[in-house]
Amino acid sequence: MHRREALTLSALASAGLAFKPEPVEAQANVQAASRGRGPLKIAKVEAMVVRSPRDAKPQESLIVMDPIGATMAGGVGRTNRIDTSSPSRTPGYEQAVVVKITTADGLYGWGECHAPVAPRVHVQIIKDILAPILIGQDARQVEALWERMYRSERVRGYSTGDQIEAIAGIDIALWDLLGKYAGVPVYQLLGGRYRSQISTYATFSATYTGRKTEQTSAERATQMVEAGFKVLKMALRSGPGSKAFDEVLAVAKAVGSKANVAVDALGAFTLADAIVTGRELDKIGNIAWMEDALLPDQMQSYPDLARAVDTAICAGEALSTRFQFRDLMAQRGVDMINPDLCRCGGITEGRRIVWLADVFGVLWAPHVSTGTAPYMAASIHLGVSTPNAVMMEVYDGYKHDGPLGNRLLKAPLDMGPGFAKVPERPGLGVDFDEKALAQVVVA
Amino acid sequence: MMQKANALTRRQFASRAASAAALLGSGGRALASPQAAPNAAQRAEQAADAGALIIDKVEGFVLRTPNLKVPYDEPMTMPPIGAMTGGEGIWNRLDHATPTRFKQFEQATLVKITTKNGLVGWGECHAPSAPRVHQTVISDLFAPLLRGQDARWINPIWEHLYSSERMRGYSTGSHLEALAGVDIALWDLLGKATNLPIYQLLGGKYRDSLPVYTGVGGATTEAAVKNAESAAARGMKLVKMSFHKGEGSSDFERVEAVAAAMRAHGGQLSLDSLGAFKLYEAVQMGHRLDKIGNIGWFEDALLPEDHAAYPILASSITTPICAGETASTRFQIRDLLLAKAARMFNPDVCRAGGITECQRIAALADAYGTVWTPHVSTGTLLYFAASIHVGVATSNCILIEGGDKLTRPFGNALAKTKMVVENGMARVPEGPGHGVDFDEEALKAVTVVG
Repeated sequence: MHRREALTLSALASAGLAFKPEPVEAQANVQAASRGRGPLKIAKVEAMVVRSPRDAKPQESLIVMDPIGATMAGGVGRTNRIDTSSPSRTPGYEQAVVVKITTADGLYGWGECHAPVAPRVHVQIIKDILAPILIGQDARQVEALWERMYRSERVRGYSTGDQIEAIAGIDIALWDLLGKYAGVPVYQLLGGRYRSQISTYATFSATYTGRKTEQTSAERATQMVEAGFKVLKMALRSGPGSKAFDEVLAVAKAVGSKANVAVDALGAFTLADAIVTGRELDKIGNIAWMEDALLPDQMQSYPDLARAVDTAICAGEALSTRFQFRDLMAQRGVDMINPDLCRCGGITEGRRIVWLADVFGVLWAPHVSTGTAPYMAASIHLGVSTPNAVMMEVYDGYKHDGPLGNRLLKAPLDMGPGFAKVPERPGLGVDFDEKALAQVVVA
Repeated sequence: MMQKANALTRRQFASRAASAAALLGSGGRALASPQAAPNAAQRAEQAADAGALIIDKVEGFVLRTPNLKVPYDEPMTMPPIGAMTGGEGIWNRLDHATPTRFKQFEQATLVKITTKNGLVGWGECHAPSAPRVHQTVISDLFAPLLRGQDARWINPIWEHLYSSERMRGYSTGSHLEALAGVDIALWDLLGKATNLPIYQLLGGKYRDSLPVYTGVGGATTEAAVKNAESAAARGMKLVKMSFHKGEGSSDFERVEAVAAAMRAHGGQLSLDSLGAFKLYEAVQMGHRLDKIGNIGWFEDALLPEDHAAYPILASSITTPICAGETASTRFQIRDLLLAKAARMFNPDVCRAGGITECQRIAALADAYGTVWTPHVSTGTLLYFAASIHVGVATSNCILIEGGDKLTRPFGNALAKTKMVVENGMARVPEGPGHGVDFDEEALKAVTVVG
């Protein structure tokens, strides 16, 4: 029952509005002049590292990771093993790579790579591999360009990680360009929208992003649900009996029938512990889904988990390309996937992934973590134009209000607690105010 | 000759073990770096350990030969967008496989790790197309995680660096190639600290040398045959040729001609398709290859992501299917083994996570009764040496690619102590670590980004 509840939340989206493009802004003349003419020759490919807070600290000084070998997973007995899932982090900092592609006519598009930790790597990939492929090409041939970028290192096995995140940033910028060229929002090019907005859920903690609070998780959760969130996602990296599990119980109880709680293990469990934990989650009654219970290297164990546990199993934020998702879904390893468009290969590849998910009867919810507006906008456009999108993640629920959010844009994204409206402007509908952007660009 | 080499090695071993003991005993008090002190008890233990090899500096160097002063992104070439595979009818489709090429250049990224007590280890990343990417992964991600750590903890360091982006899905490509470079440098350091060759630290060697093979090509069938004859004359019992097109092209005749030339020397021909075929084409080609009789293996017949098709191909033909040069970790090889996707594997030591990971891959392949052969492509003699060390230390390594590596610009020209390939056999270096000591002047001449 709770499972069905969780997966139908998105049905709440409001009825579609008539398509009324808002007046185009600064680029109006360029857009109008280029419309219907081609080719759109790519003249410049720029990749910028953005960071908040922006300071002069060298890139390498931000990285923090728990000590080698000495970090145990915690708990007692069987569960207390060497932690091989906690990634490197840059505490106190948010980072991303913003991509700008400019054509010979002066039309430009914005894209983004998910790159929270070592963003100069993505910049280097774009400079040394992708830009030379793109310069001089017709920006309108988006899918052919994707294949060519992917092919560049395909038989060298570059099928995940930074390489595909870099391609994603380019791809999103090309869709923005194509939308501006055609004078329509990206969702229109994707075949039109099912709805005018997508439900959002909040990645939740009482103390996220340094917010000082005396509230308990349950109090904060109740407040966020009253504000409009229907799903809150909590980290759960330990099993029944742990403090984290008790906190999930407390929040689930506090929000009751008004909302669901999703849990995210970030690869912390072995298959055995994931099943034990999942069976306990089954009993709670308002758990939306169990996410990333296993390491991305253990995709072959997901079918066993999905069969053993009633709660919806979700995975995919770490995966890249339709090929990795195909393998996961073909063996019925998941009930839903959460591809990250700024990681999995952009809108072109994201679209193919969610089409494939639809073929397998699998739902999807875009993963949206550290990043800026093109990341959110791309996720909204693909979300509203696909039948199997249920909701979109918004880190902390209010990412758009953060230092890398709406304050960098000429016109804001219309997002609030529990919803994100799709922009009706041409392209992605997010245009950076370059002066504001310059305030957070570090390289 | 073999006996003599063994005797020498044993003597060397004894003296080195003695000096290693001395070194470890007199290393002085190595201090943990203040920036990496999250666990007080652990650090105190480390500081008290006189043998600690505390990492001080981690550097990446981009090499290119010839070292022309051209703008960085200029040499890249790739078939145009929408390029077709050529051939007739259904053979002519969008080319999904041909990668970027750097026609006149060879490139690599070297990794240099220096410890506080002045010991230096060298490693290498396979990085033919964008070596500055690997350098950035090292400077921005791995170096800060390594500084202050004890270089002897090779396995924990490997897991640590892999975990750094594991949950972000970085499981292939430049990330793992960069990790390979670091890993090889750590093994080199441990070898130098103990005054032992790496194969010894891996558990000893099965043999002193490995058979080598090399790629043969040529504009015409005659040229390819001539190149194969030349390799056979240098003692090689196997050569490899690329094989991209099937029916209706001249490729199959060329295969038969080169195979016949190798047969005359009691040798074999292997074929590498770099992902060019569809399943039915690969099966058709495979059946024809089966009849030739001296085909070593059929490599990368399908695209690397075609996981469902590989097992069908492998069970349809008798010529062994080889895959794995694109694989980056034991997890990818595990999936190939579980699916019975290939009969043999060619992981690349400078791509698939270095010595640590390739040792595990070889053991996993052995558990399934399969053999492996290190993939050795563009790179320096260090790449070759590291691969030989893992090769001689594993029971299921059959031979090694790179038969002509040492005479190329990145070969012995870069080293003070020359590596040896003779009579088709590559000898494992007996010096400490991987045994490659770079000639700094020669290295400087090909370093384009330091």
